[in-house]
Amino acid sequence: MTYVGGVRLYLGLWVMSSNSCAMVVSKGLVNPPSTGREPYFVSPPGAAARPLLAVDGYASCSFIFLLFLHRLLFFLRCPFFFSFVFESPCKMLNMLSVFSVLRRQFLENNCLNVFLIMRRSKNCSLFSLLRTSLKELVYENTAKRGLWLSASSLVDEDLHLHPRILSNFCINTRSFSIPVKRFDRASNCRGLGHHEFPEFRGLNRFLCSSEAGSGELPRCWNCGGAAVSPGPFLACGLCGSVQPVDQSIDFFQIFGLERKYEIKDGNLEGKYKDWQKKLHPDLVHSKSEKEKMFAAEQSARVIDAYQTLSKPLLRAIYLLKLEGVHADEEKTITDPDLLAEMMDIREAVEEANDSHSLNQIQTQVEEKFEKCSRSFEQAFKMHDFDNAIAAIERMRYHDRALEEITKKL
Amino acid sequence: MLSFAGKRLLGLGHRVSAAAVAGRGYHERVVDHYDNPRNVGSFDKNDPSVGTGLVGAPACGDVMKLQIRVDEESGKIVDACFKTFGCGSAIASSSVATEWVKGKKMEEVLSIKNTEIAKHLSLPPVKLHCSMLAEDAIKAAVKDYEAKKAKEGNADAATQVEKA
Repeated sequence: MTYVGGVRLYLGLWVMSSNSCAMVVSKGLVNPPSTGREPYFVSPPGAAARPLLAVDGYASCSFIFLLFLHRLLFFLRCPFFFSFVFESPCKMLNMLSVFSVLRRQFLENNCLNVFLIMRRSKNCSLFSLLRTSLKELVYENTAKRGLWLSASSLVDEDLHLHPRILSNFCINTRSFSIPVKRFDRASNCRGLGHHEFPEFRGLNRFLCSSEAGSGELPRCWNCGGAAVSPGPFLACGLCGSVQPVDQSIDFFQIFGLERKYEIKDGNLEGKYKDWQKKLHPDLVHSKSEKEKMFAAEQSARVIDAYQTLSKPLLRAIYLLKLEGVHADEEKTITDPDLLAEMMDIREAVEEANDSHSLNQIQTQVEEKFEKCSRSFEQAFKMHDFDNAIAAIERMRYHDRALEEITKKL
Repeated sequence: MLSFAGKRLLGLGHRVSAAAVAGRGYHERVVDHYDNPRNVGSFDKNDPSVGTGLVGAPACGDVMKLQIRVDEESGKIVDACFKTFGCGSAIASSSVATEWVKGKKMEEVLSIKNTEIAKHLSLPPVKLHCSMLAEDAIKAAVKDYEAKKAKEGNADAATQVEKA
């Protein structure tokens, strides 16, 4: 038992030690060209990276010592101490390898988090942190080396020159896990000469997607084709792949309508079904995870748009929201006329028991709702937002009353 | 021992999350007020000793009417009733408001805060505006009564001047 255990231990220790030594050596030999400003180790927010390396170095030394001790005890035939020493180096090595893995993962997560924070907050101030993190990772001996190399050069060249692009950053967690083999096959990458390959251009576009705001047409992430057809770029016309959600396309643009309250002949339902034929998640069942995610988000957004635009009250509120006006919904109102009127209507609804009287009340309330919505339209055209908000409040009350009537019917 | 220390170092130990699973749903007091409504009704609006507070919340389209009957000599509220169209929390808040208001003086009643009502009913944050509505209803009722009294006072003075 002890002999077999010894062999296993040996193999394990040999593998782990070579790993850790390689890591230690690589740290020492490969130094990134320091510009003098950036520390070699960027300490990620919230944790100290330097102690990790220190522990790696010391752990490897202590491991070697323990290995020696183990061998010595074996020769001295001390079973009790043998088992104790047998276990600890294994555990030390586990820690070592786990440390290195953790450190790599930590840096990767760090980069991803910084990307996400920059996208969410739409500011570029974390850009230098990101650049150093990426550079750090570039010199990691990981399987994703190709991706990191390209990503870092991208970060250097593109983002530095176009900080505005950061506002539409579209990065996916999956992009960090594309293995280098696929990347090589896709782009025939030999070293850093990758700018001329179209697939890489796709990746380029994916990592820093430029939008119409920067003066060029949006391009498909998959085939690199530009958006040709008029209308919002939700799915590529050439290859059919679903595009990531662009929050600047508002609901009216999705349905090709003007930003008005009136939508006659909008054919909302027809257009809604057309979009779902292109964007529904069931259609991308066999495609990549990334595209599945895009499809889910895009179709959810189209559903939202359809529901908002088909109801007049929600449409009115959305219109005001687009203009930047938010009705303060938490305040209480004490308008005696409106409230007394609503009180009467609601009481009448409570008391009415047959469908005939309910229908009567319903038509009355619908008329009043129409009047309110006309007044909203007028106010909105004149950009008289206070009256518009007041009209919305009245519409809401009437809408509520209509709901109650419908429930009773 | 070393593995344990390793785990602690790497922060991989399990975190025993003592997350209390909060029951979702209306608190039993709210349900009680909904099932056994108290003080529902209305008084005559034109009665001089009655003050009516009518408030609404535009966000949810709720309407709340709270009426108080005040004893003129002592200035105490002898009776109160309410009528609310809205969610269960709004109904319960106004019900609680009518209960608390009975037997108190008008100045005292103005100091009832929405936070107390919310705490009494354990309202979730999304329903806090219902308790706010109840507080506003109380204040509106008192204000209406004061206004009525002032108008009456003016009318009396006018008739006295006429008679004289």
